[in-house]
Amino acid sequence: MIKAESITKCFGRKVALDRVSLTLDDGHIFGLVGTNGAGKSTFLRVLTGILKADSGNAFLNGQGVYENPSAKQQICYVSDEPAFVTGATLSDMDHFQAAYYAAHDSARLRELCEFFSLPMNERISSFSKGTQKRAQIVLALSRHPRLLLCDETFDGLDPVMRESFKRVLGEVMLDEQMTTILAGHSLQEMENICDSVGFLHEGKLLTSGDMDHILSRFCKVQVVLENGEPNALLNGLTVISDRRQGRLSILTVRADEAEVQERLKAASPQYLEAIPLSLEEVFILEMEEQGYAK
Amino acid sequence: MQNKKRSVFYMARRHAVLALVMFAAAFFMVPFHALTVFDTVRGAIRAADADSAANPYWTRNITAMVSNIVEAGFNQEILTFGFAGLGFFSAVILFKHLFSRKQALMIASLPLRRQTDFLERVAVYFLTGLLPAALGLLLYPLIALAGGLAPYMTGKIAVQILMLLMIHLYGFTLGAFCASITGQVWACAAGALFLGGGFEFAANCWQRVAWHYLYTMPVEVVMPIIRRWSPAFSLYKALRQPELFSPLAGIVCTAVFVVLAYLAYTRRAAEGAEHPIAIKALEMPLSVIVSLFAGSITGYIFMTFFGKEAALLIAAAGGAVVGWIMVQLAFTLDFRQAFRRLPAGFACGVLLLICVFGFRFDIFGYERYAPDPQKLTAVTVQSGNVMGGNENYTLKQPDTKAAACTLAGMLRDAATGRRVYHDPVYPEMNLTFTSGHGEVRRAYAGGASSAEMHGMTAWQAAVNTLLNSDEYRQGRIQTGCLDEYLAALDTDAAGNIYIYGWEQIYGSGGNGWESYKTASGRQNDAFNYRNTDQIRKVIESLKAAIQRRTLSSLQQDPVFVIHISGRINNVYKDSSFAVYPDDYELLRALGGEELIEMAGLLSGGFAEVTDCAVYRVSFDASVTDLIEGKICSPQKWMRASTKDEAKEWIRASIKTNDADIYYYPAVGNEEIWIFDLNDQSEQIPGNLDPDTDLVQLVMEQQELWYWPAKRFVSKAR
Amino acid sequence: MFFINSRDKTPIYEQLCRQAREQIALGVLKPGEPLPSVRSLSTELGINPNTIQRAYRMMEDEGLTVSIPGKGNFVTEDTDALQQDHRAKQCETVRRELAALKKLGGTKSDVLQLVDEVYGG
Repeated sequence: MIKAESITKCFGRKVALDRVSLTLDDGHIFGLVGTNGAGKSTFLRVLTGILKADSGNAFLNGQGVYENPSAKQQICYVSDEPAFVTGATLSDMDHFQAAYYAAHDSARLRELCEFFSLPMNERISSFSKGTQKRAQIVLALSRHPRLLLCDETFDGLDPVMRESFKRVLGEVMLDEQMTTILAGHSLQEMENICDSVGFLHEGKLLTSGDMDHILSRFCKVQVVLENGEPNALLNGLTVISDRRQGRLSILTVRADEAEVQERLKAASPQYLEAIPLSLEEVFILEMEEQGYAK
Repeated sequence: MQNKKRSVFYMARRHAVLALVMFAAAFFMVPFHALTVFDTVRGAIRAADADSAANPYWTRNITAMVSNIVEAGFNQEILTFGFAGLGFFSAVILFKHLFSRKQALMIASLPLRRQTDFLERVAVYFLTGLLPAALGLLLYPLIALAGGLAPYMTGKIAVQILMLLMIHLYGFTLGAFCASITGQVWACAAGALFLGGGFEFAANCWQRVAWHYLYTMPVEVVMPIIRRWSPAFSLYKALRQPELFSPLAGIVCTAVFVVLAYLAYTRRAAEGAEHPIAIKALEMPLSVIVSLFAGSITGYIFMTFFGKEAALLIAAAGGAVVGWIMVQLAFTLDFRQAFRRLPAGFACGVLLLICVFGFRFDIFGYERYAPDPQKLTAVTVQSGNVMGGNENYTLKQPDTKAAACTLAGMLRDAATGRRVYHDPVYPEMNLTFTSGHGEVRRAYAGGASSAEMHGMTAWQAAVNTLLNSDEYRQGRIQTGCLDEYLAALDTDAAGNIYIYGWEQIYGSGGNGWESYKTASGRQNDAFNYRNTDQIRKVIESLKAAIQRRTLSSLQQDPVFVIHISGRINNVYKDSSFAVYPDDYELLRALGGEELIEMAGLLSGGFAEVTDCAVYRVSFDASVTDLIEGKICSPQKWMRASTKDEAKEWIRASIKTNDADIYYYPAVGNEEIWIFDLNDQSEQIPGNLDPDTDLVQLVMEQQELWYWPAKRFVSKAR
Repeated sequence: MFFINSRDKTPIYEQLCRQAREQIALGVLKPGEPLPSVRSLSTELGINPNTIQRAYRMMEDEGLTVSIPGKGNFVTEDTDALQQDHRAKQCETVRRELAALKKLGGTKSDVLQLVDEVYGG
């Protein structure tokens, strides 16, 4: 179980993380969505034990992570900027990881390199960016980590690679009960693959929870009423937007879909249909509420 | 533990190139360079005949060349800086991840405690930095052995190899510490330069500022402190002469740096990489230090260049402020930010000004100190002597202590308002006063002209008290290690102690030591006694002579100087002693009646037996001017009518160059000019009329100005 | 057997469940037939195994499938009840559509014409 307890981190005067708390059960995929500069990388680094939080702590199965080698053995951070040992090939990195990580599996590394068609004896610095990302993933997975943190990893992969990655991820999750945190902007992918999600904005974790729960916080309906105003029926609920096209009203409400439908049905509408919102739309709505760029 | 060993060896393998570089560098700096020296040595050994082989001095020379790495390798400076540099370089290589954000974050993600990581890097340093250097150095004794030089090798080689490795380690710990607190290579290097020698440098600058204002401050106040406490300097000195200098300061400093590096490395934030200073809390103290340092250096440079007090003040304050701004700029990379903390920079400038004024107004009363002889337990005197070295002796008797305090007062008064350093015309005398609590008060320095000192009867009286005291004599015997030589003679072979003589008076050629050598058939300057008895006799008569001499004996021109050297408890010591015409027993012990006769000749008797014309020349310039070597024209002169008179005049005079010796008699504004009529030099006109006025001739022909050997005439005799 | 429509905005597990329901009703999935393992399905479709677990649980809750520990998930034997259930639901849908048609002005003869078309004769 991964737990972040009120983590605060500042760089000089800039507050990168502001009392971020999160609890994750094993074997889940969590999506960390955030605007640019929201603090995603910083948060992941604190969870990995790379950075020390100014206050608060990160825990893996009850053990604090910072300066804890046994915990760090089980955590793997795939950075948004590929960083390898200078001038190393994948073969060199194999030796490097074998030297430091007890769980490193050279055979698995070779297997994955073949699967992702990565040459083992060429300098990684000569690879393209996308290929470097693949190399990162391969090195990460060959360590059999309990916790995998991917920082904008999806975003750098082409669609074919993305599929391969998802397949491998699925396998590993089943076999090893690995927990994954995916941080990034690619919300469509995240919606499909993540069990739970959290929104990070300017260092604060605005909301987090199961995908369903998050998606159900808003709903969008199209309604035509013969008489009466839809708004009146939705008294007490927060109506985010209300567009009219002739007699058709398109309402976005911060409420459960069932509740909204029930209220509107009471007025016997001529037409009523709910439009499911995607994660991307929900995210944008949340951000707009926070006043982040319209 | 298994994992740790794996990672250490992995890192060591990664740094294999470093190991190669270390080995090659050590090899080229020492054994390789020594190859040519060994060749020369082996050639000398082959060419040696029975005579040189039996000469212990020859053996000692060869041993000195073979057993001293600093002799056989590159010079002392290159070896010190080179090995320290190699150590520093290793540190930068092994900690280079601290300078790159990506690498720093990557290393921080490893399952490794900071302290383990640090210790592993140190271990890798030993494997790939120090060990290869040691192996490179070990080739030196191996090559020497292979060349058949075993008989000339001593344990000093091992000690010096250890010293070089110690210097290497010092460089490493310095580098490790600087790397741990910085995040950019230039900052690391700057820090290392500062910690390596910055304090010493700044101390020297302040020493000079102090001299500018405190006239009685001795020439060397900071240097002895540096010699004792400066880590870098102690290592530098101990490399060449480990038997004389202790590298303790350097060793302690190395240990301190390791501890500090460990503390900094374990506390440092991973995100500190690529900032000049990685530990935020250090920014303020470092800014202050750099600002003060910059102000000190600029102030010193401007003071030296312009020689004016205003320059010093403006430059010191200005340097501090500018230094402050530049440091802030380096930290924040933002012009506006750099100026926001300016008040602190001004404070630093003000602090420096306060320090300068502290010296200017002598707030600690350095110059006003008047020692009270009754409250002192001892006074240590250190002053110039005839051979250009120093005489050291300690005074504990009431009358000698009082005399020393009188001298101190006179020095202080004479020095007021005068800026004097390192000018040979002004004698240097350091007095150190020890009070009852073991407290050592400051030393005084001379600052008045010898002419002034010589003219003062009070000065002469006080000097007389000192030089006629047993403490002075015991001091000469002690610093000369005469008793130790005598004791050593009982246990060691005679070949261990050497006595040299060389000419002291009347310049080269003609009279002097050379003529004695020719006359006595001696080949070289060593008395070269093989006989323990002979050496013992010389040293004992020397002791007796010292104990018997009075001020008037010391005020003669010495005939020559003997130089005694030897090994006492395996430590090489040497000392020089003047031999005066009055020291009959000593002369006899050195060369028999023949030498006594020669001494008589050399000290003026030659006027009786050679062809020379002696004139007394008086000038209208003051004694001071004459001593300072100002150009003056002779006013009146007269020639000695008889050879006896000539001899007397010469005996009553002393050499100009030695007029600054503090115990020399008061001198007048007359000179003795001696013309060797048999001088065969080209410029000297031959076939002169015996009655020619030679002084007139010299004044007319400028190129003859160097012909006569000149002397001052002593007035008080 | 199953597929994901990426344009469909309903959650994946719901899609899977719906497809299972339809396929059982249509008899594409035979009673007692084993369903693909979570692993193979997640690998094939490239989705989160948890999502598949959830879908299977949902199917089990609805009575579409049974899970036998150690062996996997199987279509229920009792498909007849399900088919009946599905038919009933479909009738309900037809009734609703007929009501809507009526509102729009459709006549009974229009409807009977349609019935003839579909059922023949």
